[in-house]
Amino acid sequence: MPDPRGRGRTTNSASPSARPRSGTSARARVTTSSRPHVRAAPHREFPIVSICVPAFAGTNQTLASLAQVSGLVRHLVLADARPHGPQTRFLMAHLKASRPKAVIFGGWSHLYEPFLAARGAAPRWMVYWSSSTGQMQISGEVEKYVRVIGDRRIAAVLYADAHLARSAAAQLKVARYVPVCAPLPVHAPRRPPAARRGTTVLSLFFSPLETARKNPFTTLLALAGLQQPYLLYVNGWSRHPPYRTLLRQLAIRYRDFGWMRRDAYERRLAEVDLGLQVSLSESYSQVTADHLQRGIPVIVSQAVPVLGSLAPALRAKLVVTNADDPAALRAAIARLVARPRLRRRIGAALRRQFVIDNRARIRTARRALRTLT
Amino acid sequence: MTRRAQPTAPPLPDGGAYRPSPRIAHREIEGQILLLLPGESELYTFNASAAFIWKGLARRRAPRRIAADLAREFGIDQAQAERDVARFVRDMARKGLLEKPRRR
Repeated sequence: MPDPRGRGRTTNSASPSARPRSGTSARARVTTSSRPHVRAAPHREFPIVSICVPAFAGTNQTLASLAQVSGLVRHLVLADARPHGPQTRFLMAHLKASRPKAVIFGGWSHLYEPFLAARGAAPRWMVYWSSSTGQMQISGEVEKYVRVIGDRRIAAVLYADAHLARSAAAQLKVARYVPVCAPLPVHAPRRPPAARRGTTVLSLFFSPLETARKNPFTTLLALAGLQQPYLLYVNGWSRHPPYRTLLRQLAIRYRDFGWMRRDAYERRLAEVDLGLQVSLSESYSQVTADHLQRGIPVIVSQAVPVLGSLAPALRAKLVVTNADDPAALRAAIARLVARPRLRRRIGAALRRQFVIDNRARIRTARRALRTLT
Repeated sequence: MTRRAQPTAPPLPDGGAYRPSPRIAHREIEGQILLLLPGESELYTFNASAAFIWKGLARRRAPRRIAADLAREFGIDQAQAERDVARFVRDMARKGLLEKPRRR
């Protein structure tokens, strides 16, 4: 997972070094000339370029995956803190030199505005919209969405959520909508995690910006009454004061690793026995997909569509019908915590189904991307 | 207690030996060098001294001259500047950011 806060910085140290650039802590020097003194060298030409701000962690990951599986897209992260910052200017010059046919922005940020306002020959600007309607309501994104669909410079909107894509096309009477599901590169087959005994590691991973939608309160109340030994892994959100207090009051055993880079996140994920994602609204759930492709079962709410194609018997063990019912969630967690072998069998079945579904998603995404070129 | 040996600096490369690789995109914007590496999605930047060396190499200056300018600009001694330039060139060449132009 990329860090939404960025991590690079410029220094005045005499020891030369290069590091990823972030706009959040940049102290840019203004010089008399900002003209590039070296022309951008020719790269391999990609017909599509995607650009996303690091704050949209899931969208970034999806676009990076699309680039990886399609071979048609070059994905770039825009980490400027201001609309006309150095990274924006670099990427605008880069697009001018490499001349892609289409540019897909991940979600909508005011940082994309200078791209649309640039003069001269422009690629087809598009937006990849990953939120569902419920997500938009909970996260306050309706205004952004309305702005995107009302902007005539944006040639198409690509959707992760099939329901929204269908409704947008039918109800808004606009034909420029392309549904694209979120694919993941399928990892080489590996053995599912061993059936470990003792303390079960549970995960509740999500961006700290998403606490309203990810419903951690229900999960914490469910865990508070759990009889079996467990350890909860989290990634930064427990630092919000009310949740920190709640974790202490409920005596929940947890470890917070903070927001992790992708490699650290994957290392922690490898230690997890059971994932928890009882969200109130999802268009896909990248975190759930990350678990499934490693053969780790995840207990989810009905709002998580990534488990949609499961057999009913399997769904009954993993899908909680009421996301507001901590007791029902606790019962589902307890069943799987108590039975490591069952967990392992379920994980293997989930992984098999996920691989099949993901192949279909990749085919759909490739087809959709080809139509854009 | 053992003393750690001082790392030996690689020799300063010949004048004009290394240039920014044509596979990377790089620009100077607001005094900063920004780089886009093949296969990477994030932009990279250099700190001030590395940017100074990079600009010198991009302008085809000899490493020895870059080191002399670096020493003056950053107030360090010439030997230290030469070590820094040599190390920078070695590291960046290893990462594929710098390469020797092919001779015809």
